[in-house]
Amino acid sequence: MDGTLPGSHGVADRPAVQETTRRGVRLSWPYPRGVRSTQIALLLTVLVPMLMLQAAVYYSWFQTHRDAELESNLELARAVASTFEAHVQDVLHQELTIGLALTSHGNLPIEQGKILTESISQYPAIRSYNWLSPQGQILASTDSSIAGSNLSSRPYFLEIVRGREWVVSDMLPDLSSGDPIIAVARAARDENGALRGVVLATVDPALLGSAVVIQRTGKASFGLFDRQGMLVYRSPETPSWDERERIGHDPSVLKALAGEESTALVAGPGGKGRFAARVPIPSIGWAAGASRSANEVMGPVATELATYAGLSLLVSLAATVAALAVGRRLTGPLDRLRAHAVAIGEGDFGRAVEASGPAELVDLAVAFDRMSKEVRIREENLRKSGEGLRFLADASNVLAASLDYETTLTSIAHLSVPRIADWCVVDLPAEDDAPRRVAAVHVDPVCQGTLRGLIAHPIGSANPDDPVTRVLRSGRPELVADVPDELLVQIAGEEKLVASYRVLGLVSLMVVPLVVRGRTFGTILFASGKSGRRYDAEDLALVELLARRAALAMDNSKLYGEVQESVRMRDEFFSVAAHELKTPITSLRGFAQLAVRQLDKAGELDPVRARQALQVIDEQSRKLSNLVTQLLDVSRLEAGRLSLRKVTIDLVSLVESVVQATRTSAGPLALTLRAPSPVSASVDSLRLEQVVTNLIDNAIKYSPDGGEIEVTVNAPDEDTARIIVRDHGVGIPREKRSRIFDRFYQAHSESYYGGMGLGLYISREIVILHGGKIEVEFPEDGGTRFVVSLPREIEDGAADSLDVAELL
Amino acid sequence: MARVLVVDDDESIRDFVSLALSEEGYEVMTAAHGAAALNLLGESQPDLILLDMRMPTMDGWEFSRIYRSAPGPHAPIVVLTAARDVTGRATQVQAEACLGKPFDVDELLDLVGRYRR
Repeated sequence: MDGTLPGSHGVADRPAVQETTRRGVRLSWPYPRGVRSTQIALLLTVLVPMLMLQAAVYYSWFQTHRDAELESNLELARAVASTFEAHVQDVLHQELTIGLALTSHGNLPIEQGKILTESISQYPAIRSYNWLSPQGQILASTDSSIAGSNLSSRPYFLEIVRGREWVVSDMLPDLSSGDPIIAVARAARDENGALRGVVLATVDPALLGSAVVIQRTGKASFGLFDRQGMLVYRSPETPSWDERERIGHDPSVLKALAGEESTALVAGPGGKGRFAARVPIPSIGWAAGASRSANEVMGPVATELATYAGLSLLVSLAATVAALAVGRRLTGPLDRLRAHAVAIGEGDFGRAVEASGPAELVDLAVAFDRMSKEVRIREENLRKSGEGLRFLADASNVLAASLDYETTLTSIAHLSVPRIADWCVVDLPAEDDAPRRVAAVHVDPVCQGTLRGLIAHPIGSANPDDPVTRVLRSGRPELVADVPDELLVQIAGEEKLVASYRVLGLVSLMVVPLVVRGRTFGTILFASGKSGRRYDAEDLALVELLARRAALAMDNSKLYGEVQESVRMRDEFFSVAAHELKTPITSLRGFAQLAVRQLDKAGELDPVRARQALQVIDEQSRKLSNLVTQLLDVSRLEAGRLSLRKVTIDLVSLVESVVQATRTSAGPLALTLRAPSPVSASVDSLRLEQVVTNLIDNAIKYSPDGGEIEVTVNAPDEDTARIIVRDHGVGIPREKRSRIFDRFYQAHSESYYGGMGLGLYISREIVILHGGKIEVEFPEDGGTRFVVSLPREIEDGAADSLDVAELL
Repeated sequence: MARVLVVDDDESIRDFVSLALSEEGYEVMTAAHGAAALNLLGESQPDLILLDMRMPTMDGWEFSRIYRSAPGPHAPIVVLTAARDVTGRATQVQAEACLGKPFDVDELLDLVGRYRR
């Protein structure tokens, strides 16, 4: 479990801390964090008090048993004490009797001996009876060997002499045998209290059992201690001398000799513990004791307790093991989940979560697996969109770097390979709408040549139904995730090109239109080959964004070019206008100054010279005036302030007057008017004159080598009038035809035909204001043909008749 | 007596310049464009060429290029122009001097006088 990952211990170390911190409850060290430590803590909190309680119960049980035992020992000791005391009283009583008998029956030793011998058989423990003189001499004895001995120095005798009625001696050696005995002495006194003699019984302690008959339980033993603490008697075993000495000096014995009952655990034979009780026998000054082997007493209890304790420990152990097993069942899957989470954190999505353990954990594992898959998908998306954004950012930089149309497109193609495509081509429709390849980039430099070679055969030129052509037509992007072989053949168009496309590789392709303001002006094709990449909708969305930006950038560069061009044209116009204005001023001032010079020199002006000067002044100022009018017209047109004052007139007569007026400047040119019948129309006659004059002037100007100029006026239908000016002059170069009506534009500016390049512009605007149109045609045999079409806008027949009347 | 060739596409300017010069005793030849001027040069050599720049058929630049590439002595060229950058034009065709339009009669006569033999 632990150790699946080095250095990580505990099931939920870090997560737990983070989790709790997030909730704002910081739990510090003693709080168990892991499942296992929590379990152990729980077990400890349950088991330890339980075991302690049990121990306490056992201890008190033990205590009770011990107390009971001690108490029973005490009882036994008391019984021993009282029995022994009673026995001593019996002996003393007998001695009293003996004493009375001896003192009343004279002092004959034989009689005395007889009395003593009669008495002795009554108590088996009494070894001998003796009759002592007040001086301590044995006068008579049941033991003849000791008769005549003097016992006056014995302590008990001294006590008697000092006035005590009776004395039980400590243990002392028998006079004749040397066996241990005790002496029970009683004084025999006369009426006056004078000592007449002492009755002395010697008692064999070993035989005390017959005197002290006690009912006892089990192996209890009891004994008697003399005043010196010597163990005098013990039942059932007679003690050795060693024991007599040792046991008697036990503190509990001394305590009892001092008059106090006590209980104690004392050391028995072999060092084994014994429960002992000691009680004093105050009348004698001795002590009685009872004891029992602790082992014997507590053994069964201990066994019982041990059984119970063992059982409860066993149960506790089983509980612990069970709990740990359950914990393991929890922590195992949890550990696997954690390891999995760590792996995901490190970016390893490869593993599948093993779903095992309790149902909740299985659910968790399944949910985790789902989450991990989701995370993986999101990460992938994030990575993709990040790449996409980087790509778009790079593309934006490239697009911003240049205002040149085709440079920009080539850069985009380079940028797309190999990030988006293995190869990329950009096609723009040329003037005649045929696709023109402006950029082609292949990831493999070797294939680059092949791709370039295909420029002569752009995709789409061969088949009107291939993707590029379709996109050019529809303006909608296309995605072919898998290019089937038929499509490859179709795209290649020609059999011999199929091999080339196979070399390039074509697995998947996307074609996006370059669209600005709803107009598709080109396509970018992204193709994958050797990389085997298959495009999807997201890729298409990305390149669509790219194409949109590229299209905008291209539109910008186009607009920029147009602005540049219009600035250049304006500059050119100012230069031309200045030139045009300065030329008449030069002649004006020149002739005026010449006239002044002549006046200064000659004092008068030659009439011929004066006329010439004034004529030049008139002509040139008229030229100036026309130029200024043109400028004003342009200004008005641009401000939208040029208004028409329409009246219904005959166009034929209007055109005729213009032809007449310009014929002088036409010089050797043949200027003819064809107007089969009057054509009335509602027009601003001054403005229309301006248009016709301009067209005829242009025709003259651009026919430097002569040629016929034909002016035609007719009405192709009831509603339309037409004025046609046809020349056979220099014509207009093909590439400039589309711009001749532009403001400031001079198709022949480099040839200096004069004029400001405003005439056709103004003419067209005037015609448009009339609701008509002006068109230019370029006949096969050279020159130009301007056709002005005007709506006639006649209310009814009245206008016609009016014009006819005017003509007449 | 000096001979001056005036090349300008504007008729009235040609008239004015030749009138002003002939009154001062110059012999004046005129041409409406460079090509016409080159034709005239085949007949007689001028002492000075007054050259306009913007002309149809053959402009001043073309004329001076052909003129200078032809063998033989070359007359100095004075540029007459309505362009804004008058001296620039003069430099372009390696002209001796330049005169911006419109110019005064006195200016013209002073300038031409400098090249009188």
